[in-house]
Amino acid sequence: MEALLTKSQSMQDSKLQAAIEIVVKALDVPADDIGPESSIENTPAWDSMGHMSVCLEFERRYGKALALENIVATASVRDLAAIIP
Amino acid sequence: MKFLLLSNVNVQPLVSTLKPFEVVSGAYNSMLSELSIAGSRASAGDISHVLCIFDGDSLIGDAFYGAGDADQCRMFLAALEQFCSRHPDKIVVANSFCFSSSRWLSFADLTHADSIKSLEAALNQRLIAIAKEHSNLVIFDMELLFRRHGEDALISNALWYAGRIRYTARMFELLGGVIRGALAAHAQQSRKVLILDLDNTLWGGIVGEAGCHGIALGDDGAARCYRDFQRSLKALQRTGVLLVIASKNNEADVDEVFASNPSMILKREDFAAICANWRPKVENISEIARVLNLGTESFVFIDDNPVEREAVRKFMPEVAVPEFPERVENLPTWFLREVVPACFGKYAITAEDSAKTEQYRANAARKKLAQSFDLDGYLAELGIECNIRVNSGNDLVRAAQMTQKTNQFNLTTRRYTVADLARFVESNEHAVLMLDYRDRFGDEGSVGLAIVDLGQGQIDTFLASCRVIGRKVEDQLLDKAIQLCRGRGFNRIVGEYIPTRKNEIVASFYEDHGFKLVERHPNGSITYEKPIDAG
Repeated sequence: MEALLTKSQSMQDSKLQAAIEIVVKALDVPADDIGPESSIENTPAWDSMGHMSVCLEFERRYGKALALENIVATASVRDLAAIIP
Repeated sequence: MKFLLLSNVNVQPLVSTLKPFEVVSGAYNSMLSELSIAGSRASAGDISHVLCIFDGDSLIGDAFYGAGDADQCRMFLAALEQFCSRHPDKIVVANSFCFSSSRWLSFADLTHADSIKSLEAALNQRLIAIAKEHSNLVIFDMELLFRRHGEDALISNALWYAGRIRYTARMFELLGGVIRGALAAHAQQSRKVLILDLDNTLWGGIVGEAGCHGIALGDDGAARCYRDFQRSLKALQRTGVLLVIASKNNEADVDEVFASNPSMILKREDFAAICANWRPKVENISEIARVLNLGTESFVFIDDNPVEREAVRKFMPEVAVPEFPERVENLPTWFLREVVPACFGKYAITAEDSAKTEQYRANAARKKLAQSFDLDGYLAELGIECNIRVNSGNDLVRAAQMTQKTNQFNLTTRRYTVADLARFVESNEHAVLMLDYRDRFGDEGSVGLAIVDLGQGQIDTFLASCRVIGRKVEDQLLDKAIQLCRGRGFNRIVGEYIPTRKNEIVASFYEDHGFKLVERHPNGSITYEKPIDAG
């Protein structure tokens, strides 16, 4: 049970890490500026245009098109990590 | 150089795919006003290029079947023309009109006078007329992108409704490449010379082995792939690109193909120069540059052999060396879709272009000479590892095949069966030596064979595959043969050369390796001998 939990924890960590990388690349900001708690609310560069860049970077990396509802509902690094395949 | 990016939709993602160009974006949907208003950002002195990457669907609105008259599109074209004429010093780039398939309503679109299809044709006709009039306008074919990659992969409905972005990440990358290519072609920065290998590139198989009628070149299967590839090359040659051959082959074999293989689409006169010899290709390419009097930075090199490609990349990094397709059926389309747009983009084709080969061929015929090349350094880079097996017996099918099929690097051209070789392996009087080759590009397997008559201290057979010719691996095989004779107490080793129509490449092999001519026989064969220290 514990091993299972650890495994799911580490998967979540790696998705968070990937989400952070996407946002850093898309917004072209220093890596230290973005963390697991970053969101549209607390990140100045993450404006509406920045959000489009984030979505495009996601599509570029995973070769997968986002649905409109995902684009609209995603507003933070954690939201983004949740839709990483 | 500074680019201003204009559109009627959100094309901001294009900025990053156009790097390293410096690109600034105009305000959202400012394309029309930027082009038409005097004193706009587009007319400022620091802007060298204006990019109009517009979405036709949004520009045309609901105009079709006679409802509406595509006003916005016509206004854009008028503004574009006016801007090009007012600013002849600025380069203006625009895509052609290409409405998405969702604008097609029914079968009637094919025939109706005011369908979206006929509107598209009329608008593009006008755009082309403006480009012909104004040489500072560079246009590119948007429809081609959709045909090649498919609308579903390029248009994003989600991004469109979320943020007025019409295209996918993939489309922005493709657009970046096309704009870059169109600008390079417009500035005439395309490459000029295509250097081609022959065996397994212009035809299938090895002409030195299979003969001029045995190569794969014809109307069926793989043979047709090579023929189609040649057709594309011929078309490219008419656009002014010079075709040149750099091939490791006997010149006589190549001549014979041109003279008597009726399936050849390319004729001798389609080539500006032909280098068929056994020298390193890098050396031949420098010579080609010299005789054509063109810099190697305008060269492209196509060869199926990864070792040859790597050598050219290493010693001539300015030469474009595309990877070769893994499957022969993709050869023609790979060339047309990838190599031609990347290397040979042309913005205009003139009558002089079609006559260029003849002009260069005449010049090339006047010059000839060789240059030096650091062969040893190149071979060291390859990381060659050879292993010689003596009488190992477990690969006699391959060994027999080598004696049957090797014509060029073959000193005596004696053909043996598996049974013959098995007898040699079992007898105490013969040694069968097989050389296995690998380098950092991979394992080539057995590529060299020698049969030594240990009763006579004589080399009966000595051959190597043409895949490794020029890499000096034959020296190791010869050393091993000498060592075996020495072990049997001989103080000399005997070699024999039997000339054939194919093996001219090894005519001086024994002399080059310190053997002395002993006797010329009436049948043309020659016996050589080399003293060796007794073991």
